[in-house]
Amino acid sequence: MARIAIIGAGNLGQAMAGHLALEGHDVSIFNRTAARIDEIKKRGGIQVEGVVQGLAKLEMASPNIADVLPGRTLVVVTVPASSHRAVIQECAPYLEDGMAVVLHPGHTFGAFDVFTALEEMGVHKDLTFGEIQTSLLTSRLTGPGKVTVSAIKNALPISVFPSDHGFDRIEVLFDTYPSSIRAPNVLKTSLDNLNAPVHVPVTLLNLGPIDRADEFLYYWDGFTPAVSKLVEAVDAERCTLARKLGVTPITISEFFDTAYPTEGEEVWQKVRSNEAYREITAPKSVNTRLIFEDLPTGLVAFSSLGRHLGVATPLCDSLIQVANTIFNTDFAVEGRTVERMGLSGLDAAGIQEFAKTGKR
Amino acid sequence: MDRRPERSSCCCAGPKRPAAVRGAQVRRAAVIGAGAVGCATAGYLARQGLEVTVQDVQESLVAPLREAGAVRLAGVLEGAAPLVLATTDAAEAVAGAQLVVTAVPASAHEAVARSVAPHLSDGAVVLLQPGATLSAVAFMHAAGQAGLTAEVTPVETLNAIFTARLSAPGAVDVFAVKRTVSYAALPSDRTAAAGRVLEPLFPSLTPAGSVLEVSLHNMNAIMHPPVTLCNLGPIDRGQPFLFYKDGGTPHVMELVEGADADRLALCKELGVEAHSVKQWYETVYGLDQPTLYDRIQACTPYDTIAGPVSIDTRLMLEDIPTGLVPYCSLGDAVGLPLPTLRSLVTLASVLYARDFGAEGRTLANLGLGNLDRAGLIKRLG
Repeated sequence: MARIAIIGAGNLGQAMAGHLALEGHDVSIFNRTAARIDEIKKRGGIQVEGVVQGLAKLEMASPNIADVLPGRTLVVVTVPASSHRAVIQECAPYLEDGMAVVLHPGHTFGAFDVFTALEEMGVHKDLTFGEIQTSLLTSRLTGPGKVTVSAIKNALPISVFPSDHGFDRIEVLFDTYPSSIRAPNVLKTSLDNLNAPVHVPVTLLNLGPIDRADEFLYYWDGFTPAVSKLVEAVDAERCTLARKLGVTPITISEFFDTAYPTEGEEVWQKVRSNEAYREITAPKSVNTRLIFEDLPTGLVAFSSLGRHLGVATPLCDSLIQVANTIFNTDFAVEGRTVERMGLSGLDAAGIQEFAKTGKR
Repeated sequence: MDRRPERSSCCCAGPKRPAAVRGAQVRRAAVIGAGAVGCATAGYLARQGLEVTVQDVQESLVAPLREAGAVRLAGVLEGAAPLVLATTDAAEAVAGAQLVVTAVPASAHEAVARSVAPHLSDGAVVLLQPGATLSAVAFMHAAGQAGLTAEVTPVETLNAIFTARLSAPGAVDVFAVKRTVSYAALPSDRTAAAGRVLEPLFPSLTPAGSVLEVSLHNMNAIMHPPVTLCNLGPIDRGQPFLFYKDGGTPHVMELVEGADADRLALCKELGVEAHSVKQWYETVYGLDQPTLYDRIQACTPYDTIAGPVSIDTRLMLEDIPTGLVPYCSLGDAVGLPLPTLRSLVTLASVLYARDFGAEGRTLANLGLGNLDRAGLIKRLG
């Protein structure tokens, strides 16, 4: 039995907490908004439905991080990637030697970001960081303290940082999700961030209908052949960067072949025949994680890395610029740039070495 | 912005002066393009007693005009206006014409120039209506390569003079003759002389300082690509929507105004008096709402303008190569980053699998690649 803390009680946080607790682990859960915690307490746990079922009893549910972290060996962070830094700063006083902190999912450079944030705070504990490429569970909250898990995904890569630490501290994830793949390092999961190359183009090329709150299916309607062209071209920039860092990337097309049963040759055909996307509707506002999370923790990282390594990323750059113009902001400021990750002094080999040893 | 409000008339009125005073030299005029604006132009000139020829590359547009020997007008202009010639042959159409008016997409200006160049008459005025960006330069460059020997004066306008729609073969509904359409000749010291030919015929023409000034106020290029890009999903799946009223949402207008900020920076750098796209709606449509979005929503001529039902639309395929690309190229010449305009061109190039930046109206493609800021102002200002 592992002692696990789940940070964040949204769809994924409750699904994972519920699943791990039903598997017999000792699970605590934190959520900043107390109402979510109260709902779980009132129900006496998390009611899980779907491919996993049961009332999952938790050791602790609290809006107070100090209640949730002490004594845990594994911390799974399920908050939006743009909050990783803030969350780790909040967790810092309660982190203990030997803990593993897994970002679920990490987006791009999640592990580097939290590592650097702790470094800046002067926290030097013996910690292992992890990134899961994307969410392990397809889930949605269906009521107070109630979550439906519609699928457990297959064969998702999970990495640790520094990779020299090996997977010992997160073995429970492989026990629970046995088809998961041990990624060679955190660069694999960071560069295989497929959310950003999909979400940002699809959202911007459907910004009109989203801004006027039209009803449409995000993937089945929004992912048209023309939209697909841009998605694939952005994805190609990502793959070039990945190879430059010694990562063999999975292309967006390969991902759909392996992750879902789909039809057709073209990426848009695969997307629009994916049953898992059948009911996914578009956001009703442009203030969506599909931009505000995926740009700073995805495309900004790619663009910055490209500039650093001398790889042109004109499409990532253009999408960032267009979004900067639309939202009258500079996404790079809060984004996961090479500078913010402390990678400025490292070449491609140096970054790979850092991923291995945790030393710059 | 001016080419699509086909069901509008609010912004416009008839000629401000009677057409009694004619351009003394003009007896014969050729109109290139037999679409709605071309037919309106031809009818308008014929009604003033000119010998008018019409040419189009599409026989299907020419045939009804040839058979009737006239263009049938309705709306603010009425009746049948006689044509001396309707043809697909550009040489035949422009022979002996002292005035040539194009009414074709800006992306066709170069092709028109090549087809008419050897056949133009000395002293002819070539009115490029509307001009997009750097049309006069593009026309002369292409005509020069195609054997132009005559001394001609190219003139570009900011908008089409007519708002019109073909109602049947050989028949055009003219909704409006615009009240004010700015124009300039290349070089600009010929604008006054060209005006003596043009203004008696087209009283709505109002002289601008230079072709640079006209070219830098291509509002189509500022409005159409951002709105199209942000609605590319619905366009690509053929979902009907109103282009401006639905597609021009508040955040889409942020992108339009960002693109406009780049254009205004270019105006400033090149010494051109600049009007923002927001001001433009006040000037042209009398709209004074606080935001651009509000002005678009209040613009009644836009009430029925539908979005395209395919991504293969002039809103991108014309406005990027003849608008955003020359803006970016001018930006290169004067050292301005123009980040939003460049990003739009980059994204569009991928979406259309075309290298707009290489094939569009760059200064290099127009034979002006060696000009710096001062050279551009001298040549085009």
